[in-house]
Amino acid sequence: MKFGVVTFPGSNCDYDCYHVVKEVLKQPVVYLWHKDHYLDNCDVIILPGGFAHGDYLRTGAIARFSPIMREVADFAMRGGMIIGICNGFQILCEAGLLPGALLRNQSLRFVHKPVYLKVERNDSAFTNAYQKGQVLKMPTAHGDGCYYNRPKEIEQLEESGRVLFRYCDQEGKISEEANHPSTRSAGSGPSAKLPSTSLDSASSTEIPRLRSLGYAPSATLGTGRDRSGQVGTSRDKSLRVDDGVFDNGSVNNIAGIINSTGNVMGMMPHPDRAAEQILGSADGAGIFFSMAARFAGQKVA
Amino acid sequence: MKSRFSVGKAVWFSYFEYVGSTGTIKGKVFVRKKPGVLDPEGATIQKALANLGYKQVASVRSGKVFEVEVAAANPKEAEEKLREMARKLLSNPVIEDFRIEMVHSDEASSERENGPSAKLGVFEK
Repeated sequence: MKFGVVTFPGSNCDYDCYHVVKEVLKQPVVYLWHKDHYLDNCDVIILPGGFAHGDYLRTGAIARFSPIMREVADFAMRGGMIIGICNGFQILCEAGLLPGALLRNQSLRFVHKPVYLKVERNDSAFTNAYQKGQVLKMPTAHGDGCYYNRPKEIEQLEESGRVLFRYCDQEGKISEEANHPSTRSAGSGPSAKLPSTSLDSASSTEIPRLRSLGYAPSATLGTGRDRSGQVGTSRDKSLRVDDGVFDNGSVNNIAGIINSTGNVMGMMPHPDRAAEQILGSADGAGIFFSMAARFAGQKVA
Repeated sequence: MKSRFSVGKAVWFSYFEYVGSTGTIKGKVFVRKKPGVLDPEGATIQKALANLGYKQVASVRSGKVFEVEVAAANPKEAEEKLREMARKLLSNPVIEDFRIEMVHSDEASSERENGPSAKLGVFEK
């Protein structure tokens, strides 16, 4: 199984991705230059984080016209596995390989800190090494990570269970909306049909859908969401930065999504920077192992 | 009185198909966030204006302006080219929309005579 890491001018996580595949996953990996016209027979393409083309105009807007992106799009059409991390996610959105767009963080700040992520489903090519509802810790490092899409498309995304990761707190709670019964219509979408796991917190971590259906950006913007009032149940816990729900303004706390055919995934946090315990967390390695497992399964079948 | 402010970050570039500046037509592409899309930058500017005493500012939305010079046979052709560029690269249809304004030919010719400072309409200092 061969991985290809695309290097754009301005990419800065290409080495991290390369390292994880080579040293942690122990699989062959090559760099692909953005001006290349071939993917070197790679089985998985990684679009790494960074600031491709200086993030001029919009993040990923210029990178999507790099010559290799034509090959990447063809690869996606043929069902090839593609993962975009951080800037890679932004490029995939600009290229139309994933729906939506990533706006400036609501805080207008570049945020670099470890955050908690909840795994929404574990039957995808990218998350099969995890448990459903598992809470992962990995760093974010972005200034434009506020996921946005038209309300109708957010609804579709939620109903087809294409949100893989959401920002949450240490216990996997997304916000106090999650505990509100009216925010969740029961039994809709494949995510509801997935077999429930043994995690006893599963019912309390259901998805808040209110914002997806009646998302009112101007209201949330004007008031400024009260972090201490929203996070978890205990006020004291929310004071610890790491326990809070990371909030960059993303609709429904979306941190990572897959496309409709399940072979293209984008996420803002960095699994590549959290794949070894020495870095403070090895939770991100699961994404790489998931891809390897899915690929091995495909080969047998 | 309530007023609406529109703030633009101007980026200027030229699009030459031929060497030299003759036969080019100028246009402006205004790109803004669609109504309803978060604009924290605009909100921050509004707060700053309120701090300066402009309490009457009801809303600020930020955007971008591109002043583009196109080699084209006529303004209509130039406008079509700009539209194509705006759809392809200058705006992202998921979050933004755009408006094109062609620069009147005598404004453009006065710029050729008086230098680039006089270009593209009247800018106040």
